[in-house]
Amino acid sequence: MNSLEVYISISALLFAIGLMVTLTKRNAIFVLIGIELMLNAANINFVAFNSYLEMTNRGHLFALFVIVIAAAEAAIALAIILKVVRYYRTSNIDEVNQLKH
Amino acid sequence: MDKLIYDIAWWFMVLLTVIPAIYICFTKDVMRAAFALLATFLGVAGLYVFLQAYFVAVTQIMVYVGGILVLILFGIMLSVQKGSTYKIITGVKNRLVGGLVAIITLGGLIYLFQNAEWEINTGIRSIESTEGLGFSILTEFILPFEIVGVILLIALIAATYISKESKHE
Repeated sequence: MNSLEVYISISALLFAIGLMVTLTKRNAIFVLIGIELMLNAANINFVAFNSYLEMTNRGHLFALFVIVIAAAEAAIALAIILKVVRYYRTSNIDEVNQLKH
Repeated sequence: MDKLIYDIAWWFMVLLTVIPAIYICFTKDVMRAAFALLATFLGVAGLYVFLQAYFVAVTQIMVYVGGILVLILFGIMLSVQKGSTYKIITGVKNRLVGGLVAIITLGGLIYLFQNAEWEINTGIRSIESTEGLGFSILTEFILPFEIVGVILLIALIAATYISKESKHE
């Protein structure tokens, strides 16, 4: 039961849910949440494959790097969202249609 | 008895990961989605513990729950307009196409790994040691480690610069 396939299934499900949230929601913060879900799905895969391989820790290291990059990405994305909200008075990404300042 | 407790804890972590993620998919309130994301992150950290990756689990809780989730909550609260309630209700668009793409992706992934022949699926073998991770980071992976530190510094400086109030708005 506690086998590699189950972990990959959970990871695939999380990835699909993250993809659906990213594609369908109108709010920019929802899109960010969907991207975080997809990054978590990738991380589960890295750690699971690493744990079923012998004598290595590459997967764990890669997962740590992914977590750090995700933190940087979330900071930048939220800064941009704040700027957009201040300028357009909305955070719905389908209403934001120009980059002119 | 121990096996039973182990199984219950394992299924609890799986449900803690999956059910809030499905809830995020169907809720319209951004604040509730952020708190559901908290449960998902904790569930994923629990799965890391079951995979014997203790350091990654603790990092997951500290960075995702303690950092990224707080950032998202700040983002939600700062993007509420004056005079409205705390809630940001958002709509959905392209639900049919988005759902179709997600289901096709899920089906494709499951089809792929059901038909693959794994040679490593014989139980958990490698047990992570924090000592080994630190040794690897400071010897073999020193360059990515330094670059990731610089990226984080640049990203945080850039985030504060982007989000500062400019004069003409």
